Amino acid sequence: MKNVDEIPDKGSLFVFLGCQAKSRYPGIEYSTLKALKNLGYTPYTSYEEACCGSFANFSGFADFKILIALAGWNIWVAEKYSKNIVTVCDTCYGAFLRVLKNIKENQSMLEVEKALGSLNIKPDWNVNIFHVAEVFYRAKDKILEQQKISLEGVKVAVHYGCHYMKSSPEKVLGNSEDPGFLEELVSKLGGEVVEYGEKHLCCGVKLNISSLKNPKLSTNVTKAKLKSMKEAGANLIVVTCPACLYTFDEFARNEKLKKFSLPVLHISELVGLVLGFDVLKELALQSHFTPITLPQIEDYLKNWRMIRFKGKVLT
Amino acid sequence: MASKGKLLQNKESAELFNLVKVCLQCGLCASVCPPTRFLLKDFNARLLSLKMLRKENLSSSKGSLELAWKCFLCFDCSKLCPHNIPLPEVVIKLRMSLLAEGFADKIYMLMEESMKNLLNTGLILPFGRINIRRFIGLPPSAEIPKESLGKIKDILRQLGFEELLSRLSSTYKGGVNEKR
Repeated sequence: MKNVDEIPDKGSLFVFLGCQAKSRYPGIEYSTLKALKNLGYTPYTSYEEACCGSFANFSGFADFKILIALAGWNIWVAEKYSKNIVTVCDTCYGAFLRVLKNIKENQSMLEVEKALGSLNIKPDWNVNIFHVAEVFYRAKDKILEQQKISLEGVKVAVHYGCHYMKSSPEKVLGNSEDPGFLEELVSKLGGEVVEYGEKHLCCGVKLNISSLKNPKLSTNVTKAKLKSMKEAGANLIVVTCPACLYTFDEFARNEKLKKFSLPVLHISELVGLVLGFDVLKELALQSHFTPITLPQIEDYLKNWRMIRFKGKVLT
Repeated sequence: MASKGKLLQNKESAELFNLVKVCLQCGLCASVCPPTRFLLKDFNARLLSLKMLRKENLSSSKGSLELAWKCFLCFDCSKLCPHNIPLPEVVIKLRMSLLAEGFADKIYMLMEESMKNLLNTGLILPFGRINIRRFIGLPPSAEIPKESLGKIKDILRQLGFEELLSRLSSTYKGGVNEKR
């Protein structure tokens, strides 16, 4: 179990963005960096970062040594800036932890270090991996101080994501059965947390190989998740992972499934929202498929279609 | 057409068996596993473990071959397993064997582009939303700088990833090795 004191409350951080956020939701990148700066950290990113390799490994193409090598590269890039690596994606978070947990006993280590070493890449594997949700929780008092928008009236269903909760349960902040820290943060920000039956269910992962091959299975799982959240009264989902974000968000694209969809925000977007970041110019919520229909930002999203398709900005 | 090799040679069978050998078939994994819950007849986490325990010849039935691809890799099973059996690792190893031995045509076709992306650009998904990136003031391109990309590709090459993709391409597309 991770202790909250292990999470840095200031200083430099390397923010590992991962492929999902860079592909579909640029607001996550923008908002994470600006929010962390406002909260007193010195965040760095680098486009030198490579894919964490999880998707290739999970699909059966890349074996574990590729994962180690990519982690080695990413750690080598990150440590030029900070020993504290913060991910915005559960799967990237899981990848780093899986690698760091196993490198001591892994037989491929020699081979990997030889390959990295041949290019003068010598990562010091002694780094700390955090998820940005944990860092935001650590900085909750500062968020409250700088809060401009209340979450009053917002009924939030929190979804932590499988690769945060389950792939390395010993590293979860709080109780691995029920971490509770995001719920606490949301409540402090004025929102109401709704407990729903399918809290521990996977989102359905629209993007993994199982879902690509069996789309109906994925849809049924996501539908069950959304139904449970709606029945509990939720009007917003908060996730910690861009893949979960895409899975929930994408439901609105399908005419038949639209009625099940709920607005969904990544934790970085939620924090940016309460800190008063511009919904279009900073949070880039126009990149979402499901309109974020919160009364707090109603003015901006009145002409959702105009913004999405014609890029027009309301003055 | 895929040229099918021999699925799960002795060494691989033994490896998978070793990972699950303490399995008591208690079924806790199946009780939480999403595909097991939502597919009922067509997938069962406990059954997957049983097949590894029995060192079953998976190529004997089409249903068995499909098993490996239904897993969400959500880690529900391994978190709950009283013996910490890493069933997700079993699934990954199984997938690697199925792919390598020519038993996964559709999978290869679905994933080919993403894997080539990883090899050629260092990213599994191309960065996107360029107009929005520009609008919010982020650099429009999130490309990995050329020099670093060269190093990443070299590392992947040294560790056999490029060779694997080549081999898979000829297994599933029959002899034509696309080199970009």
